[in-house]
Amino acid sequence: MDALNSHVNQINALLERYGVRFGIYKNGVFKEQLFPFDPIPRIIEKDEFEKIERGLKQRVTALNMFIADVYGDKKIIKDKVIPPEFVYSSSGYMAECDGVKTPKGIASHISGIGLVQAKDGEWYILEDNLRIPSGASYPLIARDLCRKASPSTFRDHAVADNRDYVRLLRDTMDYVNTGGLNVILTPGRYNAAFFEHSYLAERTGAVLVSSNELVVENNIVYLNTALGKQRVGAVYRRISDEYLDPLAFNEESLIGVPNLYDAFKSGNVVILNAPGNGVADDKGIYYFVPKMVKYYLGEECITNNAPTYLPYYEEDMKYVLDKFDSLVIKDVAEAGGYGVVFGSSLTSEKKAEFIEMLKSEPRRFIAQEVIDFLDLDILDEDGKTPVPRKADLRAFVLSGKTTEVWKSGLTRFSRNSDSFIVNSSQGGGFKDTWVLSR
Amino acid sequence: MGTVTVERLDNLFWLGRYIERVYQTIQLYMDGYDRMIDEDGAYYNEICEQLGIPNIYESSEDFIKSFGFDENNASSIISNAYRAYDNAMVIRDEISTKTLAYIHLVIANLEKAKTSGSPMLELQSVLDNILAFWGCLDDEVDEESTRNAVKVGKRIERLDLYLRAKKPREELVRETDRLEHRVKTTNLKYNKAALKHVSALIEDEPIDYREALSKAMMII
Repeated sequence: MDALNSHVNQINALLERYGVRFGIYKNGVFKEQLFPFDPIPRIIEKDEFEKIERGLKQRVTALNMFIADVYGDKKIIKDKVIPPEFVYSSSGYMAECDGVKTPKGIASHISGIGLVQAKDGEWYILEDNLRIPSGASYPLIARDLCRKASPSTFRDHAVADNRDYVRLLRDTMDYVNTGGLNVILTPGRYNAAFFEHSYLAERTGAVLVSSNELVVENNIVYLNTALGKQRVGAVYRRISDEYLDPLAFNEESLIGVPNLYDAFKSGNVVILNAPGNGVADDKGIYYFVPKMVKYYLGEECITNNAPTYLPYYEEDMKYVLDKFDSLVIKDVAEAGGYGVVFGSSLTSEKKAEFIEMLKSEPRRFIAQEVIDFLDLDILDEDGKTPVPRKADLRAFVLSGKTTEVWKSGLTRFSRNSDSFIVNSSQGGGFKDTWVLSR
Repeated sequence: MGTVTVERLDNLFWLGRYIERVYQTIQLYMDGYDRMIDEDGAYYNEICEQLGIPNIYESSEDFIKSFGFDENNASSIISNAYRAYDNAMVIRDEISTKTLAYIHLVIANLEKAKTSGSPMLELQSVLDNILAFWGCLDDEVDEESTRNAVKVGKRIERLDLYLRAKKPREELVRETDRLEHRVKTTNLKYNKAALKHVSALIEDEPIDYREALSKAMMII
């Protein structure tokens, strides 16, 4: 391990060389930044990972069943397991998707599940991301470069090879493909995750495209190549639902493909992940995931949710107001570390204002107990001294012929000693995640 | 080339043009830098005239700084390198991460040269990066027509610069032949008549460089 740490400068030089960056807008100006990499990996023991794996497969299976149900028979609502207002008022719910069946019944093909490990060693799910979870490419390329920088580290430790992600993703696309090319649809080079789009295209052999390179005719999607049109069978889209098709969703979208959604509804192309998935990764719906698991699978939920309260329920509202200072409150419509308020951090004036808002819009917020994350060591700026920092894990679950959990994941950490916010857009860095193979 | 769209073909072509422009102008710049040390302080005027770029420079020092490394100067070496980068980064999956890495190195070394006490040494690294880029392109990209789309960009840029520099006939004939050989192996649309016209013009005595350049600009 020390060998890897001593090569941190060479690894970072290689990351720069290969353009491992993310884009960010600050004050209206686009900048590309290197994503700071820390060489000390998060290590997950084989047995521990097997438990996480079972839990994540179960969770994603239930979430996929929920999406099919909500846009289909709506049994879970009729059976009063989830109140209808939580579904229909969700910003991720799309009425346009009602009655639409996804090819092979899969809606969330690539799921990014956010976890944290508490100091007692227990893992908790913080969020489900079933729309366009990003980040797999970073540990993927970092592992490749770490193996180059320090081969002995990987000879001496039994680490599952995470480069298998390429096969998992390609197999997932191939399985649901309706006949034609696999393409990765990017909003363009000024998107924060453009590196990932282009890197995954290169590695999986999918064609990287922007919207003006695709055309839909008679509900069939084609790629306009220099030699003529070629049929497209799978679109791994990296564009938000509302911008995907200006004729179906937001008519002002300039980055979408007109009539793409009609082609999808006709079963002539698959969109990964399916539009409308946001209904299942809404922070309000998160509360109900253990109930979904029980309802659809008849099993106890293996994964732990962080203890969560819905101010929508009177009893929970009372608890939230009583314990406000010890809770973290999240705006269900926000993401990327935004809209997160720690009760203890507010002045009395701000707290009063916030509580007013909470009372007037209870559906808009959830409250959670603050989980005391297990700190992970990172190398300090001197590149030598380990210092503890908060870190989370984004695990990737791929659903195709089978549901598989990638034996790795993106570990993000906060670079500030007093912060829980690990998002790259807010200055966080990343680590590789090692899953031990024995 | 089966799945390459017209947009990406355009990116491949312009990547070749811009990176060749960087390569050629660095050599011109290094030569000019040397001459301006003790021989002809105003030599930069000739360089501007030769390249057909606006002479916005107040002194040789200003030229050294701005033409080399000012990103806001559209004619500068670094601006052209960034335009090569813009085109390259969107076709990572066509040219491979390994090949793209040399464009990243070009940018990184130009940024280093900007603040270096000895920029010529850093510029030599940039030239090395560009040569390695071409080698890597040949080695990493299986599809011949993809490689050739980038090479056509290189050839057309070189012909353009050679005509502006009024290079001798044999060099122009060589470059025109190379261009003709390459362009046939791509799916780029090109103007055969214009190419033929350039070939004829450079055989004339004396060569009408201005006319040949205007026709060369019509080839693609």
